[in-house]
Amino acid sequence: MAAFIVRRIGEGLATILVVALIAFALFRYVGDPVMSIAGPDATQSDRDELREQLGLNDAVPVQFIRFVAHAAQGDFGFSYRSARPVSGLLAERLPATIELVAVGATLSLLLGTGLGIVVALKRKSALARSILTVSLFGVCLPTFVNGIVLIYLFSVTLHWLPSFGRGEVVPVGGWTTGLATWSGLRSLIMPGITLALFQLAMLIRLVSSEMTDVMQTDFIRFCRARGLRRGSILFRHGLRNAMMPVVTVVGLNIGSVIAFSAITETVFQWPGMSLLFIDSVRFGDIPVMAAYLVLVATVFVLINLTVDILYFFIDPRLRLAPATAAAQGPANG
Amino acid sequence: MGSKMIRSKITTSLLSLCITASLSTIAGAQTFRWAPPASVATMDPHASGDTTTRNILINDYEGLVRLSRKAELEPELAVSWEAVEPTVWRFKLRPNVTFHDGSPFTADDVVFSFKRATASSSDIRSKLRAIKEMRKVDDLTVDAITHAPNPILAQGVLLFMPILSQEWAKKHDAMDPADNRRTGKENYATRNANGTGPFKIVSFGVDGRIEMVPNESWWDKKEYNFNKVIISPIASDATRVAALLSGEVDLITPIPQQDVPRVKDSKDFQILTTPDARVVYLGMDQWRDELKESNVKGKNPFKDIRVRQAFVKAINMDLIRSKILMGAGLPVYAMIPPQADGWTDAFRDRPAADPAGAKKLLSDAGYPNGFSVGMDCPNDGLANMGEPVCVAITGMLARIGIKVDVQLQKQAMYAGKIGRRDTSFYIHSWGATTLDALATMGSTMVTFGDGVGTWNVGGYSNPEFDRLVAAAESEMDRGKRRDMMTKALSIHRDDVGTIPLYQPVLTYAARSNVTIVPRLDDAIQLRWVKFK
Repeated sequence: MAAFIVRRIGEGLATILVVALIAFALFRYVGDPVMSIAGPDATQSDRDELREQLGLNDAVPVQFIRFVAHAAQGDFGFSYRSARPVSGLLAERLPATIELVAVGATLSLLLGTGLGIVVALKRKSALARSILTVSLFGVCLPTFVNGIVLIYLFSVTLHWLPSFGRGEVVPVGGWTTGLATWSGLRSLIMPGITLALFQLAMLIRLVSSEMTDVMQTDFIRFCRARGLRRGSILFRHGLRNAMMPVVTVVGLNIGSVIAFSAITETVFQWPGMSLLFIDSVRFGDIPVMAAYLVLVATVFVLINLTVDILYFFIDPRLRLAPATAAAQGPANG
Repeated sequence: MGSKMIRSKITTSLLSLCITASLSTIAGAQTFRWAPPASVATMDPHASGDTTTRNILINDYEGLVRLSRKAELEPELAVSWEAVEPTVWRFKLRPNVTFHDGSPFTADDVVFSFKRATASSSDIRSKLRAIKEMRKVDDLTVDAITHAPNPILAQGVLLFMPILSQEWAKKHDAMDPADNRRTGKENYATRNANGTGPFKIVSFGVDGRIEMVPNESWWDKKEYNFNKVIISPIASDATRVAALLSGEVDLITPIPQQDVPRVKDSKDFQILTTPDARVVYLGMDQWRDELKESNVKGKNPFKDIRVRQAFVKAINMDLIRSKILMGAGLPVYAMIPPQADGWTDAFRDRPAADPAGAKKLLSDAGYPNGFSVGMDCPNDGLANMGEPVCVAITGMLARIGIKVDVQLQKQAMYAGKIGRRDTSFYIHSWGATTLDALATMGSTMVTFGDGVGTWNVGGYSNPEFDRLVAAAESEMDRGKRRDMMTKALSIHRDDVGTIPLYQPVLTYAARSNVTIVPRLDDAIQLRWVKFK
């Protein structure tokens, strides 16, 4: 297992480096930061001086190596817009994104599993059909439409929930949480649901088809034959086996959820990293953009790694397989 | 609110939610809540040249002079000023003014602020280029020494110099603006403010949210009637409108044009407008011998005035203003808005749209079948009107045989391309922030060289025009100066140096229970806000 993880980490690092290179190359074409910083009144010599100070006159490979060398130490330089360290800016924004993604993923997992089981057990019922139909809206409508519909319903019409922002947050160590206050929790509801919706329809279908498959297998039939309670069969034996691919998909999808959170964060003015990224695109704030992309790539790599490791714990066959093979090896030979 | 209370009685499960909603409405009487599209880049007024940043910070930091409700110059931290010599302006400072931290305001702070605002890490230093140095005469008198005689120093330059406390900067090691270059460090002033203005910034959140409270020891008469300000930036247009409609904010700046009718019809909300001190125009490369982006080789069609005139006649601005800008554009046919010094009412008259005449001009110039040309256009700039206006113009030019290849780009990218003069045909806008034609002419119309004509991207050049601008620059008689500027602008207009399109209108929306005075520099002066 150790060798496996080391290999995966190596591959992950290579991925991150490639993303950094692509990001770096792309950003040379998103705009000229000198124009944004120096403002319209600057003279040509002001601009030239600034270009020199920013190191934009150096050869591209030199700039890239400098970027990677600094990034490896967690130093992404200074934001062109706010003149503050990028790592600090991202760190401040991280809690908002993590909480939103966690709530969104949890909501979609809980709802997806619950509704998926209902659909699997009552496949022909009107309830199951309406769940499947309604959930289709989740995938069919773009995220920003879902978000705006929720805002107009719950903020503008009913005045129940705030339309923007994170509400009141409480600092906990270096973290800020909106989970500890009433206004923070209320602010999380709509963005959380919006983010959950996009993969809910897919999860419901996945859970229900997995459950249907599992429930038809022999070992469930044996469980029934042994007279185990229905709840025990369903959850301890059925669901547990059905959850394998579900966890994989949810895990792998967390990366996409973070990517999708860019839209959710924009619609709800959610002060997370993605909103920072969107704002920095508008300004041509290259250090922030580059750092964000590298960070998201890192998250993707970490997620894949974690899912690989989780397999070992969820599925005993994977854990035992190498050992069994080793034990059986000589006997077979 | 009555219906809200009834609902809460009926639906007990919603009781607490409704109470929260009602409470926030009551609290609205003492708190003014404003949602601009972006927050400040930094709290340091010298560290960023960003207009959004300036327009929020002017409520905390003051300058020597300010603009009145009618956008006329009036004293702020200076009480009077006069030219003692052609290159020396003497400012008498306001006595008994203190900064928010309690330190007294004196001539030292003015001299210090000038030094700080022109330090190498300052992003506003180019605005202050006209001043050579500031010299303290006594505790309440300073001299501004200029490189050349400058009749409008106060409005043209000092309007843009926020005053910081030297004592405060020294105490917190913020003597220079935070440097956003490679060697940069954040400093205390990046996240803390200490001006002399009517409001004190008390918090600046990660989400860009700014809270202000009144400065009780402010020198001027208080006209506002609230005791807290919350500025919450909302970038998404739809969400910003929703936040207003749901009663979570009292003012949004701006409101997208398509949402105006809906808000206007409601008695709970009002639409506020003001002309923007800005002109949107088209520029054409008139200096290269061959256009970079065109099928005409070996010559530059824009060098021929008939081609430029044909473009003017092909574009039906009345149609664009009514159908695309939907009232958010006012007629101008000169490079400055009517509010700027140098304007004359004849600058509103535009040659009538005349596609047939335009086609004839093109044939006379040797392009009976037209030609193709690339056009640079921001898809997220010019108050989001860049794209629709460019597309409309493309259609109109197509009718006279000009095939325009519109290149829609992000603002940041477009600004870079235009700034490098890497363009053949482009849309652009220029703000007459000093409300005087000279700054606009110096930047966008005089023959370009280092430090002058930086944004004369099309490379317009007319010696007679340059001569008039140079003469106006050092003319201390305001009347003569104005005549020279008007004459120069007319020359540029006759030459079709650019094609002015329209003057944008700034459009905001607010709740009806609040009085707000919009100003043509897009700044919200919180001291003019009042709940009815």
